Amino acid sequence: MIFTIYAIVLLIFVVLATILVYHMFRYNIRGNMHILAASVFILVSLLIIVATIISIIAA
Amino acid sequence: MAHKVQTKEIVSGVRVVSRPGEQIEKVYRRHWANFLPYIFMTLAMFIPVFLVPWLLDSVGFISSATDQQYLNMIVGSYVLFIWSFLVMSWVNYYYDIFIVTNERILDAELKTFFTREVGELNLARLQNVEVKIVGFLETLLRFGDVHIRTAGQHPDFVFDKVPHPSVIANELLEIHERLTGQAYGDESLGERSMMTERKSFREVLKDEGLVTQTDIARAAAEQAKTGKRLGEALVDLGMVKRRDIVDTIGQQYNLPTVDLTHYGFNPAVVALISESTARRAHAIAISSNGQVVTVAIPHPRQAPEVLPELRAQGLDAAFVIADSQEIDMAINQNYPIKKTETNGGFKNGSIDPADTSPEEEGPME
Repeated sequence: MIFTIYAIVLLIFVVLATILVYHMFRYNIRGNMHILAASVFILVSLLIIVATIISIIAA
Repeated sequence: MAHKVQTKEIVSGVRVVSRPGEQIEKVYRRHWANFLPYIFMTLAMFIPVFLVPWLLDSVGFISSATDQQYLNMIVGSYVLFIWSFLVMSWVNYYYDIFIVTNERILDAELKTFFTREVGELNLARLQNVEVKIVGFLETLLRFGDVHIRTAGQHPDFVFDKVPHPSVIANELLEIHERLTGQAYGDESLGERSMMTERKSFREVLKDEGLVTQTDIARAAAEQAKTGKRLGEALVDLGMVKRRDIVDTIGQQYNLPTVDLTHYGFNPAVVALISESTARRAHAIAISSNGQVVTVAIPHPRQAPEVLPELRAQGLDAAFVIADSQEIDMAINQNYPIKKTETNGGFKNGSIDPADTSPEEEGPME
């Protein structure tokens, strides 16, 4: 049950994250800051998600 | 350093199709201090992450492993939300861009994720640039607003909260001068003025002893209140005469001046500039030798508005400075052009210089 709820939360997050990354690439003017920003965003998000799943299992 | 606009850059970036030969000169972003409130908001949003589990635990609300699991999931989701908020704020801050090309100024602003506004200003219409640094943080970190005033009744174009606004203002004026200079050809005003480091309008006024620093300060205050140009404010306050302003602009740009009050205009020459252009640019043709047309304008910034029309007729232009009121009066008196008069001065598509030389028709100062 708890993982079903969390899966729904993650689904909403994935939609939001996709829009966010799309904007980073769509409106970039010059430089590679968008690639760096998108990478950091995805990596940190994955870290938070993994940490949450581990904490749920550990509890 | 300028670089060629890649169509992809502009289309992708601000959804504006680039023009042939257009180059990006500068790209400005808001000062990083504008992102600070979002960082503080994010930090504040983190407080419940530590506070709520501690409170729930201390009142004994978490009694089973399942409760703890749900709490961990809620906290994890909330942290994910805070992180997304921070990144969204960064995108909102970072993707508000001011682009200056050699032809236009573009203000691309991401209002919301699905609303992006792009303001555009033709650099040739730039009339005045003002810098406003208001506030403690702005003064300390050196950021503020750059107000770009344009010809006509349009509202100011504002680069808000940009770092080093004075430097940006100078760069804008330099790019504008280069554009204006190109309009003058090789012996251009822009090139000459850049080579000689042209004095500012205020400096020339002071050097000529026409005004004091106090007068300038009073006029600047009036200017801020009414939105008028500095010269107009000085005239309105009775500190200088209109003629002095004309002479000062002429001296500033090393251009001759002319008094149009008793000038004998040749309709054939006047007709070289269409009425719409003349009224828009506050410009009137006063003489021509068949190749070069002498055009009276109130300020060199008006030159780029007139030049394309003359170049389209295979003519070049020499500019002289005249009082804007005198020019407007001359436009009202000489337009619309009567056809019979228009043909009178032409000889094989050109105008007899003997009929139209400025030395004979009107006083040059």
